[in-house]
Amino acid sequence: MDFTRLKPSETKQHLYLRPHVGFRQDAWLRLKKNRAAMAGLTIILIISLLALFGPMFSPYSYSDQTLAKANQPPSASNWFGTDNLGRDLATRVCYGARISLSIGIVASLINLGIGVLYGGIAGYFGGRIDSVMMRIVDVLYGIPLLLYVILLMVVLKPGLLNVFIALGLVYWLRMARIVRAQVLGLKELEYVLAARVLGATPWRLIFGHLLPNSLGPIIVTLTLSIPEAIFIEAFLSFIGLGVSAPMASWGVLASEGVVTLRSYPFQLLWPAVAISLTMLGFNFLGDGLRDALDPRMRR
Amino acid sequence: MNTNQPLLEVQNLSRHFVIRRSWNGRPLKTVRAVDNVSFSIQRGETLGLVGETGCGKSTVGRTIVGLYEPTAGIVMLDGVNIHSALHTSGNKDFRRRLQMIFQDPYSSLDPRMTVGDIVGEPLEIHQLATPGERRSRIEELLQQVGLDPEHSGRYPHEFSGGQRQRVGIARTLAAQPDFIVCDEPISALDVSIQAQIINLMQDLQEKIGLTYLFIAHDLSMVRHLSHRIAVMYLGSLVEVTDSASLFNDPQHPYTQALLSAIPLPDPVLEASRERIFMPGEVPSPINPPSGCRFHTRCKYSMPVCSEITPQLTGSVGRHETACHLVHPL
Amino acid sequence: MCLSTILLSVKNLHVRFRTYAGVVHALRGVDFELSVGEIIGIVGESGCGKSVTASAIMGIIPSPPGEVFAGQAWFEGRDLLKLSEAESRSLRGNALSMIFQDPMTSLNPVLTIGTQLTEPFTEHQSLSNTEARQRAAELLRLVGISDSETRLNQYPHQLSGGMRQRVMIAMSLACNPKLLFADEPTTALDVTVQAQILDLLKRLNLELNTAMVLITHDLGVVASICQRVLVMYAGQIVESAPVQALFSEPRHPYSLGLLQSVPNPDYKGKKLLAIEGHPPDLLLPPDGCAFLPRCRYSMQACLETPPMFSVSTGHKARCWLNHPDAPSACHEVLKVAVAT
Repeated sequence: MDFTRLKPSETKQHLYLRPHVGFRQDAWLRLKKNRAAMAGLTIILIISLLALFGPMFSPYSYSDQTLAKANQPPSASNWFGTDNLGRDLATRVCYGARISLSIGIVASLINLGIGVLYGGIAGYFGGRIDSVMMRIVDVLYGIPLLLYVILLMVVLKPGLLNVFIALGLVYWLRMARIVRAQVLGLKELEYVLAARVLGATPWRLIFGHLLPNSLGPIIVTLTLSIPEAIFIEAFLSFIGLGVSAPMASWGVLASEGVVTLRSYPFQLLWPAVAISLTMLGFNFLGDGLRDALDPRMRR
Repeated sequence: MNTNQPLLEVQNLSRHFVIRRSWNGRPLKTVRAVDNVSFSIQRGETLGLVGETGCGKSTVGRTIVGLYEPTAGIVMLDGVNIHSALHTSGNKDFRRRLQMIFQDPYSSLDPRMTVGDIVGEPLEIHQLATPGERRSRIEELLQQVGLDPEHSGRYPHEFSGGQRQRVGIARTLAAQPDFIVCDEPISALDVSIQAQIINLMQDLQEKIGLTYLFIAHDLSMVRHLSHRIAVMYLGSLVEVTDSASLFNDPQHPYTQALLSAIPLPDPVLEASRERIFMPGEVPSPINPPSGCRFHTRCKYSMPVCSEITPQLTGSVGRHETACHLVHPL
Repeated sequence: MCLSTILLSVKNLHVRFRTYAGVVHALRGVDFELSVGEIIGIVGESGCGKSVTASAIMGIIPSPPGEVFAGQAWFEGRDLLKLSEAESRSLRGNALSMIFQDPMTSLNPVLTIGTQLTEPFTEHQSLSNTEARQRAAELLRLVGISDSETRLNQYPHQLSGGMRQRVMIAMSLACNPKLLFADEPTTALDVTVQAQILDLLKRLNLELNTAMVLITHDLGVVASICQRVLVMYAGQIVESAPVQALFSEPRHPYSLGLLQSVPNPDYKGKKLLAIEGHPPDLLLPPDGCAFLPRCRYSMQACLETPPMFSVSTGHKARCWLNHPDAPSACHEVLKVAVAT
């Protein structure tokens, strides 16, 4: 055995760091494993593509009427068939996708803009401000969403813009509660206390520390609230309070399709399937995101 | 400015938490976490604050650093009342001088920020470096605490506990503080890493001239780093003196019992030593015993102990004890 | 103690865990023996494998990520590592027992102490509820809890940390185990309560002749009640010695380093002699001696993994400094370091 001393340079210990897997990478890896979530994502992508590009590739517009071809079943020239006024259903479904997705986007923006801010402020300041702010939320939350929106739409006139407004007034409530709960929990963690002691302003604390660390629940709530928005718009349009004809919301299509259900069932089939698939897609994705972003499951 | 004026002075500090109120707002149950505590720390000194769970030492630390408002009493840094200064907006400079190192390396760093950004945050808040200087200053700070500046783009979860604690220290140093409250900075670390961090803190104190309030429950480590030590029990100070005297000549019965309970890394000594046993458990701080808070577990308890609360008496700055046996009325 | 019989004999224990990043070799060849009624301590820092050793022997390592892929643990004529789950379960809480670090989470918060304490009796000894309750009350008295009747009806949150740990100890002693694992039993407790609990363990060992394996990172705890000590580093035992020998004559640089990291009242120097660096990542276990990068006495030979060398009776160390052919300077170097 060789007992001569080793020089320090020969025994240098390099700093080991586990393979650098950032938050986003880790979440994405976990999400990919969840087949339902991936299916949901695919559905959403397909619907988005249809919404954006479908009408461009169609020889028809959503309002072109060809009365001679009314109520035709699916055929080579009309892939989804036609409705009672001879309008191509495939094109109308694609336009409907545009409307539904735009409702989804608007609902999300409102949630983000109002809900996150409201919850963040209530949670951060606590005390009386929090009490007052959350009592308002509690009162508004007590009214069933659908009922509320219906009442609003009766007051305002039907129309897409008014649907946005009516939804916007109350749609942020759930997000506000969730963000407030997150912020309340994070507020007492040492890194937030450290930032306070360093002299961070409330602005920096909320936007630099508390909200970024609440991104998980925010993203999940955002994703899961889209299907509800889509459904509400469809329902309003179905009962005539939302978008009005000839605009082609899925709800409008469904209400037209219901009338002819016995004779031409395909006219109801397409909007029903569209609504269901889209909602399912967002729900699956949202559930998958919830698991993927859960910090505790992080290995 | 008087050069003999202590850097930090705590006078009659109390901090109570009301945990239940009656329907008209009257306090029903109050936790008297800190009750009438007074001490001072000179510039460049380290005062160790020890005690067991629930004695209030963490609360003292957090009140001093401004996270809590005192229920009574004042805390002064260089003669200026801390809590009024912190409330004066625009007094950012004062905030910078009084900083804290936290206990848990796993929750004291924002998991969403890179180590470089974490250390750089105080520089931004207090505008201590121009955007151009920022990067080099961060690298300098990381090197100062023994970390490789190459890793400034990494996230906290990629480092070990000891390394994370170093990042926390670098962050505190970035603010260029005069006084640092160290709230159990090594309790969550392994033994050999504790030694590394203690050495680092000592080096920094010598090089930069920092003043520490070192809160801990491990008496042997506290002794190593502190010039003076204060012992707390159930919200009050029971003994304050320099480290050597505390270990060689503990006067308060609680200090004596505490010292005898520490297991020494020496089997021969352990087998032969006399343990002083304290009966029972620490009483609840909601309803502390009357008079001397320790009298319910003290074997020298006298009638006066349950009636009159002893005050810290003795030669100020040398050896003070709050005990009727040591300083009869 | 010359008539000591071997109670537990562990040979070549290897445990690994599959993680996202690869396979972590948590234990890389652990061997030791435990005699009837003996108290040994396993000392080491986080990640050295001390808790994994106890879990492996008790059979409670979660099996998908964890795997005992080599080794034997002989206890009363049976290899514990080869038992079925049912056989393992009949031993746990019975002849083999374990207490954990955190008394707050080791007890079920929604069940009374009485319910939890009578379970081992009704489960393993088929006693009736009244008999079990009587035994439970006796146990509480044994661990120094007075007014046992009141305590039996209380919930864990109504007891202090020290009390809860006593209840845990009582539960573990219910069926008079031959062997008790205590995984950092006092780490979460105040130092005065720790002293009481250690004293209790010592007393129980004398009264009931229960062998104990005390897992800790605190050398003081080891010095106070253990008879023998195993020092672990990077998944292996690096030194095994009677307690006095370890403290006065450590034969492994890591043991020496641990001793020097702890402030010694007699040590007049200003700085603690810290061990620089950090333990190796067991994803890629190093070739050669695992402590090499941090060792002050490294030699060319250290590039090869050292075997255990016998230093004296009952004292072994896994370090080339103890090789019989090593120059006398090697044998002296640690002695000199201890003396300063």
